Amino acid sequence: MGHVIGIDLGTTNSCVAMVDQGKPIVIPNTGGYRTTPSMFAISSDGKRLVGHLSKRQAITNPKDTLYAVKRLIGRRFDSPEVQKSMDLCPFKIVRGENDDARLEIAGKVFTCPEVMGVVVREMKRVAEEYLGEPVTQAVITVPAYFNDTQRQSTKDAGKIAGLEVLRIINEPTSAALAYGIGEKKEETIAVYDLGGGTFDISILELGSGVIEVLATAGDTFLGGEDFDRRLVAHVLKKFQESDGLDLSSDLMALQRLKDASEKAKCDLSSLNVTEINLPFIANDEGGARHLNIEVTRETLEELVGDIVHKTMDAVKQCVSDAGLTPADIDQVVLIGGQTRMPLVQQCVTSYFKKPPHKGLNADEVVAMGAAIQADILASHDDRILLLDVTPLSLGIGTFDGQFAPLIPRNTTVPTRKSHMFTTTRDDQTAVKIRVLQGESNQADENHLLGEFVLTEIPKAKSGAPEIEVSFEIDSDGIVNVFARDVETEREQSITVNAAGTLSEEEIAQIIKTNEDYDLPE
Amino acid sequence: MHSVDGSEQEKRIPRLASSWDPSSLQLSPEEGFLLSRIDGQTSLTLLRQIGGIAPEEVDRCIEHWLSEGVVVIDEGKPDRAEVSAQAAEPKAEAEPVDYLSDLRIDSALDITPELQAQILEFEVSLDKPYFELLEVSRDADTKQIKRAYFSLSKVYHPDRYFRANLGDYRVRLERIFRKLVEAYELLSDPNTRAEIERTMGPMPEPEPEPVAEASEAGAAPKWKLPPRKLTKRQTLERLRRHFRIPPQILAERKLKASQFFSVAMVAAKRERWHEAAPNLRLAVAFDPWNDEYRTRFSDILSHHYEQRAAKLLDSDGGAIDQGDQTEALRLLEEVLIHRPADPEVNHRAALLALDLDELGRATEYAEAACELCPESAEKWLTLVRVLRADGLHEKAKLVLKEAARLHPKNEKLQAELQKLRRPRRSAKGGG
Repeated sequence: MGHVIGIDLGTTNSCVAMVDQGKPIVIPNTGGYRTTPSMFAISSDGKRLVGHLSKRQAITNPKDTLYAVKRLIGRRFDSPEVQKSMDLCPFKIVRGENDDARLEIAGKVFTCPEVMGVVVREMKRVAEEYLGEPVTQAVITVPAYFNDTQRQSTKDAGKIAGLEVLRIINEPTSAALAYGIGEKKEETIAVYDLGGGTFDISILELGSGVIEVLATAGDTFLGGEDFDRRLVAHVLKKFQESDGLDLSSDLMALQRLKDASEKAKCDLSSLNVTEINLPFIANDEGGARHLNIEVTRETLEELVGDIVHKTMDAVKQCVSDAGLTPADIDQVVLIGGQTRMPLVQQCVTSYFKKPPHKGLNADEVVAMGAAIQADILASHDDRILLLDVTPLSLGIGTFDGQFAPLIPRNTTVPTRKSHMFTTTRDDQTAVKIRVLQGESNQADENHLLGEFVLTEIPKAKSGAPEIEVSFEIDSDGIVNVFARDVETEREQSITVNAAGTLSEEEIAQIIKTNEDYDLPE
Repeated sequence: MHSVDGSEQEKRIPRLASSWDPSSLQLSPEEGFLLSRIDGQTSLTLLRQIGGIAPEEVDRCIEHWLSEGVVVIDEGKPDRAEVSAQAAEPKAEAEPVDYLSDLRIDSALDITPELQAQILEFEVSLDKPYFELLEVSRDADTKQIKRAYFSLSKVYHPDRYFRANLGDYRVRLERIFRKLVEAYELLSDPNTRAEIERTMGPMPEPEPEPVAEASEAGAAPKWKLPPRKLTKRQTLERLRRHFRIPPQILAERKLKASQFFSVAMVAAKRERWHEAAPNLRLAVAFDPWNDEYRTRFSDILSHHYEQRAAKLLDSDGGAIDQGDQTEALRLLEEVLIHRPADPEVNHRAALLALDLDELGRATEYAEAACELCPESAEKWLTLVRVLRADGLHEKAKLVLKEAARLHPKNEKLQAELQKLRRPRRSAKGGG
């Protein structure tokens, strides 16, 4: 087995790491950067650009530059999240064949796994260049809150990039691995992860080299970009007040403003005041207009205070889900660039009454943990074992539209649970079973993973047949369903393919198409 | 861990005692199967491997039969050739092995034969009580339980052998790990743990010597009890004592039953009888000794049938299919098995039977309804209708008079009675 790598496939930036001589190291890209923007663009002359190259031309090519695609992956086109993205992103989001969200740039339509696949492929290339040999296997991280479809789609992205994905692991778990917490001592830790596009909070229990996820909560649609957006809106409003110009429909101006706001936000983590200075932002009868607005840390905190408090609500929920109080938490780990913000650190510190654990770079921790898990799996390391849990309840829709959870969330995998079903009509020979994931009582409010039909039930009065349906989640997180007619002992088993994910043929087709494009150095 | 008594047991071959009377024993099918395998040639080891019965169960049965004098064991060297000739398994001649036959050990796999044996051994004992499974004492605290779970996970979690060639050991590991999770989850939740402890009874003590039994048998040595001296009742009593399910397994079954029961009760509360009934059926299956489950079962089953019957008859004013009516009547009759004294159900069944022209049944149910609820004029009217339909006009007349007497103010009844009188008067006038 060659090298196995760990990839933190982030909303805004991605990072790749590997274990070298027992130690995790981050692999820098050819530009010397330790993280790579998760961006993909097609330039005006038809070239495909990824990472920093893509980001550099984003200002002049906003319509054909994709970013934050991680927020859309594995989601339905009609989901509020996708609809929200359509309002905010300069690129075009269209409805795909499977009702998934797809992206249209330069007249071409891409699926989300395809776009993420381009980013994964770039990370693979970074590692191969560093190592001087091909890399074929990887562990990829996802937010703990991702549902099965989103996880499967992330796996697809890996496949499209030509990698065998050994395991999808949760980002907070990965961080704990990187910190090596719990290798010796027994501890309960909270991992607060506020990245570019997602927020997660997880409570982990560690000891005797075993890591167990007690509870996770979060929001796949909340992150540093929301902070940027608030700041952009604030600056737009200020500019309109001072200069009477509305820049919100000027794409080029918006992209410049977005970049400048992001930089100002970062500056305000260490400074109390900064200024956003964008000369020649617009033209009107009076000639060139310049934007120059001062922003204080206090202003920023006012703008985003509610978002930070929203994250703290999830923190409280998660701690109580785990059956704990803040005092039971031995350590707090912060990951994600946005946790550098003093307000975030203050809130976390005051809730847990202890300062957060630091030491590793908040942007790199997750990739390092993924590399460690990849190494543990590949080398059968017996020092650490990661016990993973299901992030969302898995169950079925009943005939009256309710959701009957069979495997509650936070159940350690692999797991298997059974339930008895029966028919609702006389002589019914088939039963349709809808497999759903989520926490709502209403079936329709949960995520449909797939459906299947159980056939060849012997004819009988309604309610008479007894069909035992077992749901199994194996250690790879794949959902299998076994159905058994108690009377006839007839068995059927089905692997639930998440609705809206790509088929093997589609993936093969994408890989083939990709071979035609050589990504530039 | 399960222990087998080494090579000593290997050489022991049980045979049936000549003085034994088969009619004195009450056996389960499994026990009967085992008994049928005892032919004086098959060794204990082979008996354990025969399958269908857990090895420890085999031991228990044999021990019991030994003490009952049903089976005797001839000590001494068995004839190896004879054993292998009798054996179904071709490997019987191999090195002495315990019931974890080395047939399943595969040296081509990526895990050592020792580990394979360890996995097999752990797997066969998965039905042990949770405390024993996690190898903790019954007073272990949460920390100790967690530690035990973690350390066992490090051995039995499938990830430990990621992508290794495990053959069917991967499935075994997953099964073991699921059970470990179950044990850990149940024991680390104070509520479920309390329930488990409650059903397990007091802390295990060494089994007291059955003093009463010895005296009952007089001076005769226990294992040589002549079965004929016991009444059938006594024999059954003894068997039940010997074959009782071990308290720990009983506790688990009861726990499972209580889980099904609570699911059923939640469903019943929401009047989802179609869900409550199958779950309660499982509760009864797991814990047939619980009277509450049985009572509730009959109750819920009748609700379930009643609801289905009502559904069949609910046609929103349209015509009701005759097939549906027949089925509804059948369901109501099911309900009546559980609730024979329900006047409403009897009445509904009577009306249905009348519609279906099943007059015999209609009369039966209508009469029952009137008897159970004589204060309802409506039921009397139904009985009258049924009797008339059956051509029993005289009887109908008598019933009507009785009903009218009981309900002097009921207009419908009085009107019917008037109708009955009028033709008589007109007949007089005409004559």
